[in-house]
Amino acid sequence: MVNYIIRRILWMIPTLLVITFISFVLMHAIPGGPFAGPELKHMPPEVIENLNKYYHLDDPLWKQYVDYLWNLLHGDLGPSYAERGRTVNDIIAQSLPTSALLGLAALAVAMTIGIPLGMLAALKRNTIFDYLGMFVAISGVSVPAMTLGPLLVWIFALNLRILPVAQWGSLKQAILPAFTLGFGSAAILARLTRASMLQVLREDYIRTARAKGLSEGRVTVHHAMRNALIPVVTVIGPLFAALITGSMVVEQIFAIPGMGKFFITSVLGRNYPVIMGTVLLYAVFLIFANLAVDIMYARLDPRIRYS
Amino acid sequence: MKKSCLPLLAVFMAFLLPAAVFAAGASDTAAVAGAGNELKMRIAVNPETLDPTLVYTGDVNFITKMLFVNLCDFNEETSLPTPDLAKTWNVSADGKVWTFNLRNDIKWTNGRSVTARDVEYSMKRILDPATASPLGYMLYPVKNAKAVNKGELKDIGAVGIKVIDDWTIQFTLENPMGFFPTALRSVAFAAPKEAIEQYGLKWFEPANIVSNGPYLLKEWKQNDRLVFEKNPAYYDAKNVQIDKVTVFVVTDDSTAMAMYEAGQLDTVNVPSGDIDRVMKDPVLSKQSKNVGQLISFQIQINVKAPPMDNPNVRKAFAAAIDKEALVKYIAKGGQVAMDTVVPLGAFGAVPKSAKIGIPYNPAAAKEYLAKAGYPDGKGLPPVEFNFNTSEFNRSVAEALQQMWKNNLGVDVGAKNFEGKVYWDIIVSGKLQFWRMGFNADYPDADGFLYGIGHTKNGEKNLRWERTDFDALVERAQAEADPEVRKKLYMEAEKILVQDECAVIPLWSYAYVAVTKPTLQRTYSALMADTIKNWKVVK
Amino acid sequence: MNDAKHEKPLRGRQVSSSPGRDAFRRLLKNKVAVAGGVFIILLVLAAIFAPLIAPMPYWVGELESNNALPGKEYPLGADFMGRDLLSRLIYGTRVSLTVGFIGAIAAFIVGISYGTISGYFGGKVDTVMMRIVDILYAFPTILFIILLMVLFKTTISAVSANPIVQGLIAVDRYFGGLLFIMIGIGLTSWVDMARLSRGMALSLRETEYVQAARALGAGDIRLILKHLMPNLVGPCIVTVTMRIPGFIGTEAFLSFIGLGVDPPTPSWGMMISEGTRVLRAYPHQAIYPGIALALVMLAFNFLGDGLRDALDPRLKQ
Repeated sequence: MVNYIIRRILWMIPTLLVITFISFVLMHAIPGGPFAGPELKHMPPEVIENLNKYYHLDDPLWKQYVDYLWNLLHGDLGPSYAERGRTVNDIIAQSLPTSALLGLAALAVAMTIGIPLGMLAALKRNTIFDYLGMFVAISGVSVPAMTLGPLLVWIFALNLRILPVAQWGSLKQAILPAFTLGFGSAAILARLTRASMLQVLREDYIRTARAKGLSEGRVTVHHAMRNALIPVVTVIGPLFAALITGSMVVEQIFAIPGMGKFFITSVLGRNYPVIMGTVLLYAVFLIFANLAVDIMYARLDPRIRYS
Repeated sequence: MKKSCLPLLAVFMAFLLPAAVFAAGASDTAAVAGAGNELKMRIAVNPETLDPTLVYTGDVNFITKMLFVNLCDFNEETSLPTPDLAKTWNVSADGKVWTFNLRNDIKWTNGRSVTARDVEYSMKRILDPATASPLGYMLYPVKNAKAVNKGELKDIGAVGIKVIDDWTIQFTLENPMGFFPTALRSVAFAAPKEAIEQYGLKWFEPANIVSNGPYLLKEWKQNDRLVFEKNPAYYDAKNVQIDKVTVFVVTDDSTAMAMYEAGQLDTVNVPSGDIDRVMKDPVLSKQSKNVGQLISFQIQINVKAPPMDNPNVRKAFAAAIDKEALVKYIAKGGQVAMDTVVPLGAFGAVPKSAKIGIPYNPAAAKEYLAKAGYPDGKGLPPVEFNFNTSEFNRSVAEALQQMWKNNLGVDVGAKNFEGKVYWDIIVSGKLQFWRMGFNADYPDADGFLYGIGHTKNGEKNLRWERTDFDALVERAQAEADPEVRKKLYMEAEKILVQDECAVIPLWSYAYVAVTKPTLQRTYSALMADTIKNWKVVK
Repeated sequence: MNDAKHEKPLRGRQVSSSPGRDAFRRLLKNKVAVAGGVFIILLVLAAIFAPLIAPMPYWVGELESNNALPGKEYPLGADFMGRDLLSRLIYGTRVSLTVGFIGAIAAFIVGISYGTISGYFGGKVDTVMMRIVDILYAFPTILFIILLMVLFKTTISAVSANPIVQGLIAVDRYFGGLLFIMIGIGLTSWVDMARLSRGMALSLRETEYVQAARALGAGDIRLILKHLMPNLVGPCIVTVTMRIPGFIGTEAFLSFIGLGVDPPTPSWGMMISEGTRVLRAYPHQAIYPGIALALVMLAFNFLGDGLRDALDPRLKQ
């Protein structure tokens, strides 16, 4: 097992290398540079030349790539073109914790809503609970955050006035964004839990338990649930990663200073170091999340053995 | 038992962990109810820097003004310069040498006096190619400035900026320019040399910053908020009314509007989607105010790209646009529909009474098109209108498509490009006609017309060849007599938007702001509000 | 594995049916799945016959009736330009369905081919092919698709002399700006499918069924096409059906950030983002497209669920 983990981690290095290469090529293939000015003012060519020189953008492309990798090895992710004096390291250090917290909060919402909902739907299969539950759950995936967010703000913050409109810092301020972000994942978890639970309930060992005379409750909770949760738990890692990457809309709507906004703004602003930095960061996340999933699968299901 | 615990434990932790972190970290939501007045407002982007020699984004200008003094301040009504760091100024007979006399009672926050040398340092820093300042071009009217900034002249001392003594600074220009102080608007700040040399690019962080303006930077949480407090050592501190200013970084316009309605902001610009609602609301409509801006929303045309190379085609498209309807139904911000380019608040703007330009006239539009050889649009090659990505621009483009289809019978395609490529594609000459928002760096017709239309020194995107237009704007730039200048600009506009129709003006920008009754504020037409003039009334 | 063909004794006129027909019959018994399927068929019809069904063409707008509330003249209200919402919703089915189906087809064909080949050959071929997939899998899809979309929209732009590019632009214009979205979605969605089919191919390869065929002298291509792929098709169809809502959602997201369709093409995602701007003043503009989007996603999800239940012979009713 340990060998397996080490090998996976070692594989991360060439994977990330290829990812930096693909990103670099793609980024520079896109026309436009970081210094075509914002809408109302445009920069004269002399100024653009100076700026390009300042950021070494006039170096040949291969040199820029090599320089980037060299700096990367030293832990330097480069400057941000859009903000003088701030480096990508600064940006990540300041905004990642916020996004991570938001992701965790959304995950909490998703789990506390989704899992019980799925269980209930499975236990009361083909009844009104099942259909209603699944309907609600699927609506979660279908209502995009861009609409759900403002809708919730309207209802809870502006009309009922029980929650703040935007921003980040207190528990109250976290509720609406966490819900907006987590609702979609709640739906995914609900369906997965339901399917898994249904699968488990059909298994032979459940029938055995019942035949042994155990009460329905004990059968459900003790045997069915914990086995049903296995595939669900495995999905939490990637789900968390997806939540962090998917937070950009929510962060914009609720004015939360997280990493999400850097995604789009850095691509649109051709802020190359930030683009590379975010891609790398999320790739690392995804890889670790997948690794965690595989490890958990192995721990929970004794039939699986890695060498 | 271990197996069953794991999933449940995961659920437990995911739930409690955030809650715990919050409880621990929940700190600053309670507004510090300190002594004195307080203002809460919003900025749409995180400032890229607060170094006045490097700040480029228009949105950040008001913050620079809070922290640093400029040679001249501006009267927001007349847009004419007023004394700030400079007490008086005068110009030589040939119009090329400007001398500014400075106050001697303004101090940096580290105790030292602000002198002419600080201004010189700041400007030379802007021009130094190694600094790579985006503001460099604004100083090009000064002798040798362009050559130095381009790296052609290595000696920065050759620039026409001279310190006569601690309180006097002199500029020698390449050519006479009657409105030079106005042109200095964004670049005549003083910068603290010692702080920059000590802290490098982090010199403007709250812990390091040395400033000399009405406010002090107390706190800056990146992408979240900036907090300012009144500077007791400011030379005019007794007239600064508001003690504490908090500027929240909120990207989304609708969120900012919601924050205002929830009482978290004292003033905000109303996003166009909410304007109807605000105007119908009894409370909000009373708090609203319509503010004009000196920015021209226009359609520029590449007169070499067929079928736009035919002036009658251009005029047809111009006459088919119902600008009043656009303003009323789409833009909705109280914009002023314009047939000429220069917005009405800038010097040299053409009054509506002069009736210059191509007004809305569907019948005339059809005639122009027929005269061009495409009656009812038959045979017209494909036409595509371009705009830079934004919801607002998109809605305007769709409305324009409708009008051209209804009035000319032509199906115009529409494609958007995002900001970074937009300019490059325009410059490449591949487009036929496109939307442009043009704001000059200073409130004078020169800033608009010279840049848009001069065939050699302007942006050259119109690709036209009216050198008589060049002669007009060059004369107007050097001319001192305001009446003569106005006449020259009127003639120039006639060529631009009427005879040649190389530009179709749509309107000059305006926005709707809502302000709490407890705040008395001013509204700048130039995107640079002067916070020190605002008051909180109880 | 799909070999559970029940050997029922033939009674009277009962004909022995294929597994496919069995599955279909099971599907028909699932009411919600059927409802979903019917809904989708209705949408397809609406998309095809849009010009006949819609009260007004989707680009016509009376500026004076901007933001009109639902009523006699505009059954679902009008948008900011006075265009009829109902008509735009109907035409919008074209965009959503095109994106959904083409994305699905691309993912299906490319993914299943790639995965089957990789799984069948195993060994080095498999390792290399799966490494590529792993790397692509680690690349955040959203970023990748944004980068792709920006690349397409800026390079294949306006005027270019290259006839291939011109052709692409013409096709794109015909689809209202949709071509590159479909390419983008296609390029990023096949990875899942590849993994899935590779896993199944790997296990199928070892069955006696396939071993026997190989022993009888069947070549590689024959084995892949006749023995492996037909068994993979079922679960793959299920998976791909479940992914369609995701494609539609991706298009909505892209339109939201300005990388989507060109004006005045109506897309539900575009309509939702336009409606959200005036959400508090005129909620109907966001709610109706929102409901439409939700319903289409629901339909595909239910259909997918039903397909999966129907194709799994171990399911007891």
